[in-house]
Amino acid sequence: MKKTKKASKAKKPRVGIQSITGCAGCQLSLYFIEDVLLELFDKIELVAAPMIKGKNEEENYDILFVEGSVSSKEDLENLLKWRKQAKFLIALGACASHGCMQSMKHMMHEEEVEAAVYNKFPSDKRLKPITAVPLHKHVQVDFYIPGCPPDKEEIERVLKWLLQGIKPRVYDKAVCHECSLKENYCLLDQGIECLGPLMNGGCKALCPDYNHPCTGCRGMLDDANLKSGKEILRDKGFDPDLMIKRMTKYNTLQFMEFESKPKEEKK
Amino acid sequence: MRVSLRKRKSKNDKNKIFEFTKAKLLGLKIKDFVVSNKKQDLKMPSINLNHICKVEGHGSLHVEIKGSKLIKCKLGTVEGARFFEGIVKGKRHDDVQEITSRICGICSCAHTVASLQALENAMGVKVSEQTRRLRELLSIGERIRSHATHLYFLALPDYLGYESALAMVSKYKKEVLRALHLIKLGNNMVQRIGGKEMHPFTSVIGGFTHVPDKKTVKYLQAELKKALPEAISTAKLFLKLKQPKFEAEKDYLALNPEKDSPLISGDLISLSSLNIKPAEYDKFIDEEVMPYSTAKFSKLNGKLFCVGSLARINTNYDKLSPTAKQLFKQAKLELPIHNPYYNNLMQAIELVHWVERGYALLDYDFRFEGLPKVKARRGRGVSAVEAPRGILFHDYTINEKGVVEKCNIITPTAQNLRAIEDDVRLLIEQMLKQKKKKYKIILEVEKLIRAYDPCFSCSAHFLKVKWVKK
Repeated sequence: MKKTKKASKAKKPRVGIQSITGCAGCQLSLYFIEDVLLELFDKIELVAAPMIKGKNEEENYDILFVEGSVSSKEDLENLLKWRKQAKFLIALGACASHGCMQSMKHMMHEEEVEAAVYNKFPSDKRLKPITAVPLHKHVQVDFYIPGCPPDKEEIERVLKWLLQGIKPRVYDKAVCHECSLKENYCLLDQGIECLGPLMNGGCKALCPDYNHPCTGCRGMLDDANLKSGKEILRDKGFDPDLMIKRMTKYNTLQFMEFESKPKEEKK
Repeated sequence: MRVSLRKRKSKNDKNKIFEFTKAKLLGLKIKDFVVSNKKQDLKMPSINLNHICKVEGHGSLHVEIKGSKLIKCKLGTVEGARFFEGIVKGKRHDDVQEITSRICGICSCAHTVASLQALENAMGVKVSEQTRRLRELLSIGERIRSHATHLYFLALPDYLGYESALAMVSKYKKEVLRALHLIKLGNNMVQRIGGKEMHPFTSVIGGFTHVPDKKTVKYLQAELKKALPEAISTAKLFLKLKQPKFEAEKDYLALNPEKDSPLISGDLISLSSLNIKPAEYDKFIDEEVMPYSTAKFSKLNGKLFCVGSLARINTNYDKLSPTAKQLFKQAKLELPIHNPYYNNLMQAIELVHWVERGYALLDYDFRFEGLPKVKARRGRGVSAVEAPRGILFHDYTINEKGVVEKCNIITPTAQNLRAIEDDVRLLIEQMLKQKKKKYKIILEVEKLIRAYDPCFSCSAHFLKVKWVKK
């Protein structure tokens, strides 16, 4: 036993938690695994976590969590720098994996949106932001932990898997799967605009369980049938415009990709 | 070349090398200390310090010094702008809360409540006593978590001379475990009432989609009772800490808790005895956009002001719970307090107050009132809410379909930015007069900024200090 302990001490993986533009909520949910936090952090060497540490290294990460979306030049520079130093990069949260709220600008008039905030300021002196995109648009991402905020139990699980050298698994069933296991009365049948059938689960169907419609914070299913999903929602009498606004709340880019796919096939 | 090299090895340079090693120990990056190649600058190097950590978000501080005089001091947020006020435009009323809550992870409940109340005001929706209670409980849960995180993880390591709370574990395990327990309590409250630990969703316009059952209420009450001694020992811990001597007079703004819930409704009052209705906030608070920052800066009636725990206690000391008052008396302070470092202590005292208030609020028979239904109406609504860091304004104008036409959000940190900037300037000037070393000044500045508990996510991420010495 003693030997293995010594061996593990020598080989403590170097873990970093970095963030770019976002709400810092994903990082917090990582620190909020209260009961096992100290135990878990004892098994790793936390080399970078600017939010709670004063001393941060920027080299040789074994595992690196990155939260937030790329929304400025500096974000991009940092991300590229970190990618070179990281062996296993995990996109933490909805911003990093799908773009989240700030990426909604892709489907709106960008100048109008920006004017609503900085209208009094001359345009040439304004800080010019990049419209937010998730990490995988710029760098290779090894694993995603989606969700807004991500499930802290999932973070714990993934970290434990990685520490044991097991490749983490992706949850790829619809929200409806877990929702029906909880024996909930379907919200769609009650006339509430729920997006459960199209969206990725793994969240224990929290929202539908509390009578709140799913809005898809964990991203769309890879094989989501958007066409028939839309038809179902239309048949229920929901406003199609509103439905698109709902679907694009977290996953604007994913939605745009889905929309552009069939057109390519026609060509 | 040789001559210049010899010149470099003066006494000053030895000091410089000493500072390099000091900086290394403190975790500052060596490459941030760039020694300029120009001969003239050899004696006075320009210094770029690129990381100040343990604050929520990315910020920047630009300091220019000539001799022993401070020329420029600009505080800004360099976080990529996300344009929430623009994104909300064109969205239906029931989508707004979900979007605005994402402005900030640590104060998502405050954004949620402010957003919902402003929209309710706009559409003339009235909510039940139970809903108001649950919303306040949501805010209290968030507050306990936020204060505990700030006090133990961001502020305390400075006072005890550690680089992080995790490094404190070997010697101060009890304190770290206490922090984790308080955080867990706050998380539990938010999760059981709001559905998620962050970005709660059960609170919607008109009411709640889910109400905690009796078992949950009992559990939460028991947890709060257990946490009270821990909150008290937190306050006692911060009472023991020595606060630096520093005074900066300014105005303080907080919600007036005379009406039922001090957290989520009421008029605004200031130390200079202004009385402001939330809907008239724009007459008193001026917002400005600065070229060096993605956040907006604010002034109150043309005066410098600050919000947060210190402001709340400076204006509303009488409303504190008896236990909290007793703790305050132990500090032997005179009101009003003008030392921003005391914001930490005030947060610790408030923690006791909120734990007690939460326990009292849970004493209620919560019943599910059915899913709320809302009729859209044209109008404008404003709401002011006490977020953990100060007052948060949400202001919406919606059309008859319930679609948002105009939106304005003023976050607490945006209101504090100017006060922080001014205090930093004062502090640097003071320390330059005392001829303190650079790394010491930087440390103190960091400590001061952290005391304000800035949340740059609301406006921006971690703090970069650009230090130019001319």
